[in-house]
Amino acid sequence: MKKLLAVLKISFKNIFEYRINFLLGQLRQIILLFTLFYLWKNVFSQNSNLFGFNFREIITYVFLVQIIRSIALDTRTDGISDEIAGNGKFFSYLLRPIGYLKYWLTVDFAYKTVNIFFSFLWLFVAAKLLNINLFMQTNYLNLAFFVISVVFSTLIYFFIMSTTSLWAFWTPQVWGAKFALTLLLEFTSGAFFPLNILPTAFQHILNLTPFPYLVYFPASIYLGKVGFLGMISGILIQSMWVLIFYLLNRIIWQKGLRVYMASGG
Amino acid sequence: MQAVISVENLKKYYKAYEKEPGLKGSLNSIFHRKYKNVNAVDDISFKINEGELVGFIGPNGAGKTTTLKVLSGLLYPTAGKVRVLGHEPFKRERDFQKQFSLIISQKNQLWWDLPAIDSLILNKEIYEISDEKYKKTLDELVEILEVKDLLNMQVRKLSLGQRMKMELIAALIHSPKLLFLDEPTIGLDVVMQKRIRDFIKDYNQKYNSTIILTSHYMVDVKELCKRVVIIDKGKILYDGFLEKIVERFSLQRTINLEFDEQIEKNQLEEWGKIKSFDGFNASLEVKKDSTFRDIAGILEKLPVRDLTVEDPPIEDIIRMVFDRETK
Repeated sequence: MKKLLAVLKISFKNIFEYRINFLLGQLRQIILLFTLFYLWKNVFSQNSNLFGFNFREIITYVFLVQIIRSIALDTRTDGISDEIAGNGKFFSYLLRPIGYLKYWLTVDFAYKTVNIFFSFLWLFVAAKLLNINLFMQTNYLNLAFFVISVVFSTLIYFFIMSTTSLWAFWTPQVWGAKFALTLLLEFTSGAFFPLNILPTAFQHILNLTPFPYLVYFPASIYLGKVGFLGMISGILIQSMWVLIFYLLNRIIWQKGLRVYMASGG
Repeated sequence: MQAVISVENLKKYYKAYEKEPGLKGSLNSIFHRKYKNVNAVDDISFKINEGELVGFIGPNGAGKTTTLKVLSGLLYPTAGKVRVLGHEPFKRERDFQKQFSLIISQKNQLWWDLPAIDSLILNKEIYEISDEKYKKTLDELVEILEVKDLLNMQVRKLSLGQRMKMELIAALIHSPKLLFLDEPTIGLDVVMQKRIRDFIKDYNQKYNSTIILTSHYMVDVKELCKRVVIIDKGKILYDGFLEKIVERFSLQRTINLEFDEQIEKNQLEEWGKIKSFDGFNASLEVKKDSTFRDIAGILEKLPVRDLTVEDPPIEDIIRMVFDRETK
């Protein structure tokens, strides 16, 4: 545990070493919030209710998505494939008594902590400037389930992306696959729009995949669109996906490491 | 005495993927790839005892680094038995990892955007070093390598030599008993090379640590290692004292002559190959086993003022050993 604490500390230092760069990157966030606001305002200028959302709910949804994204869908694990394909840094970890996956999960944790702080800050600033009255969930049960579902969503995404990065054991060119996957995930997770916009048949298929559980499910809990049973079963399905992707990650790690250690040079 | 490292019939073979040049080659390789078998290490055995400082020499691709990687647990052996500090390296047990270090010059474990001290603190926790021990080791290393002012500088701003020193500190902060150094002086200037060499020598003597060193620079090996292992194409050509290499492999000696009066070149030809000649001075290459007879003859027939006998430099002998293997 002390080891991971040290990793956490050095990751924070690394983030703040380039604070200007970091803050500029954050600027993107606030511009995005403004864009989303005016886009949906236009859509709702003709209708007061679309796909079971009123204007206030849809704005809350798209703003909330930015928060969930910055926690769950933001990961540094691209570094895994860079390190494996690159020369040197990767095996410095293999030489030292520390678990590689735990290490990366901790690095991610540092970034996510900073992200949470800033994404709430930008949300608050944008809501004030645009004079939006966001939907505030007051039911503690929903809030508690919301937090749990975001944590699970974070783990699912972490294991999916870090497992993808492990393909670098077989080929140094992983970015193409990762790019396609990221796009697919954003589209099918509800990061662009609420998934109930889609045809019902398509939604049924999506529900068999882990994707809607990344963004759409937590956001729906917050907005109170999921009943108690729905929350329970959703969380169970999430934990199943966490387990599946964790195991997949371990298997591919073991196999990849075998290939790596069997190769030369 | 129990050997720190024992390697029996180690083999490391792997397949390397070969691509024909150009776009056509790239397209072809999608459908059928050609693989080439590489025998990086081909049936080698050796033992190394505690406190030894052994040099591995050999040309690029000889199998030196591969051997070090197998010993460190980064590569599986294809065949053979390897025990290091009582462990099988490829299992990468924590207990084993805390006792050794591998330093490869292209490897960097330091965080580039942060001062080196932060990476050192990270390693302190990873290796579970106590505060006192950490402080003591760090102070010692910093003093020997003279880098006190550099610890708080961003790593990417350090020069190559400075960074190499920091990498050394990071690799030694857990006081490893066993050290694998792959080309530790590569890319450094002469002064820095000497510093690093002195440091390695010191580290070996002070802590009775076991060290394997690979190097292209014969100077490194000559200054540091009593025992050398010459490797080429995955095989050991020689394993023994450095001094004995000359005895074993060299077939020639050089006689340098200075004369009282000018002589003709053809007066020397009967004894051996003339390497240089200007009338008053000459260098002759003669067969090793006839050196004394040759000297006696020369002294008798020519007006010699001064004479020295030299063995060829170790570099030449090793080059010769490799050349012979290639043929």
